[in-house]
Amino acid sequence: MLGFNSKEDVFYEQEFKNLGVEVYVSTVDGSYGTKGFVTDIIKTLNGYDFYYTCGPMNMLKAVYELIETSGELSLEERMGCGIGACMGCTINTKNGPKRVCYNGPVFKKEELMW
Amino acid sequence: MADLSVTLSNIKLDNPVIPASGTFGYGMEFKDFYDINILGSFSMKGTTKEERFGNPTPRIAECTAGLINSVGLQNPGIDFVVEKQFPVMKKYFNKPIIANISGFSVDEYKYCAEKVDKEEQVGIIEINISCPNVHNGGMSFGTEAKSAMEVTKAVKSVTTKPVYMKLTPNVTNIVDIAKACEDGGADGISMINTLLGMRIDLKTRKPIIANKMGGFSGPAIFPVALRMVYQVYEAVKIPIIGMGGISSAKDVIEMMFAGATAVEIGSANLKNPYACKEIIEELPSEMEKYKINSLKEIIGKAH
Ligand code: FES
Repeated sequence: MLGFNSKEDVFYEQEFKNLGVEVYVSTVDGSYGTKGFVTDIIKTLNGYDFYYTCGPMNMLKAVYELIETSGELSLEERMGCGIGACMGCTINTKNGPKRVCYNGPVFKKEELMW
Repeated sequence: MADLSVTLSNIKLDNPVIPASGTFGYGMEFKDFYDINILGSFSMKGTTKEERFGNPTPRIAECTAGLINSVGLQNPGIDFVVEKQFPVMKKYFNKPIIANISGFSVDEYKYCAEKVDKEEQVGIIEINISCPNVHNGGMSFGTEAKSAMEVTKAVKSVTTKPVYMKLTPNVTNIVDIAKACEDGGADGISMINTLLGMRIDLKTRKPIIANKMGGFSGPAIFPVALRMVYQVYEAVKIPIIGMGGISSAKDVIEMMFAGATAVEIGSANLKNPYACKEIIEELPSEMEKYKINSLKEIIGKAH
């Protein structure tokens, strides 16, 4: 599932199709695919086994709320160094403080304290 | 051959380049980029008595020629650092380190100072009385001469190693604070910490930093830092570790002319993890350009 603002922003649709997977696209203005966000597509389907997601924090949180199965989320954070030295990007997790740039950016759903 | 060595309170450094506290962790991440034993020393992440998570994110905001941070002294606590981190650190860094500590009360400063004083790996104890990112602590000790002196005296009473007081620029007259530290028995001054700053996100119409304000550092503050080091050099007899926006070998030389015996390099490490290495490598040719044979000889020579 790929979400964009508008038709001209869409990318990688064909690349994902080439991998042999079903691809769903949403656009906020409705100029291509489903009108709305990826969460609007998520709601129309079911039977998820596991999910992988990346994108803006608000979207990640919405996906986290919506899908009950386990998954992995690639988090975003404003960073100072990107190599784990400045502690600028720390989040609190069930396993203690983690640096998004160094210990992540991908975290298991179960680790997060959302 | 160019002589890069300097001496800080009887501790001989191969060169004056020291990564600044908070930009270098405990050295762990940087050792994967280069052999950090080429450094003069390094100042470890500011550590407090208790473990701290720090401030909520966003903690970082970009600026023209610098950045704002509001980490809020995230650290695992002094006991953990001394017992767990120091033995690991020993394996990849074989020179004396600068132990940077912070506190929320005079007793906490004493506790941390006493603890690091016993460690053979520690060459200098750097007392952070200047963190702009925590309430009721850090900076408040460094904004008044009286409390700066009080912390200095307290720490000196429980330590044997050289104690350097790290000062905030967010004061009316930094010279008064530096003098108070010297009178309190400080062996040196580290200056400057970050300047209190802020950015606003035009889309959300709110401050970018979760804590609203943070410490501004980077090349933009270099002239401010240089000016303050210059002023303090005239007022005290103890050595100064100069810092604030240094990002090239030229800046190092300039800061030493102003009166710094050694320098700390902060934000530059965040932008380029090889910054300190490159500066050390560039120093000899820069020195040659300005006809400098020994860095020791230029300390304070702009006066
Ligand atoms: S951005 Fe510096 S630790 Fe992650």
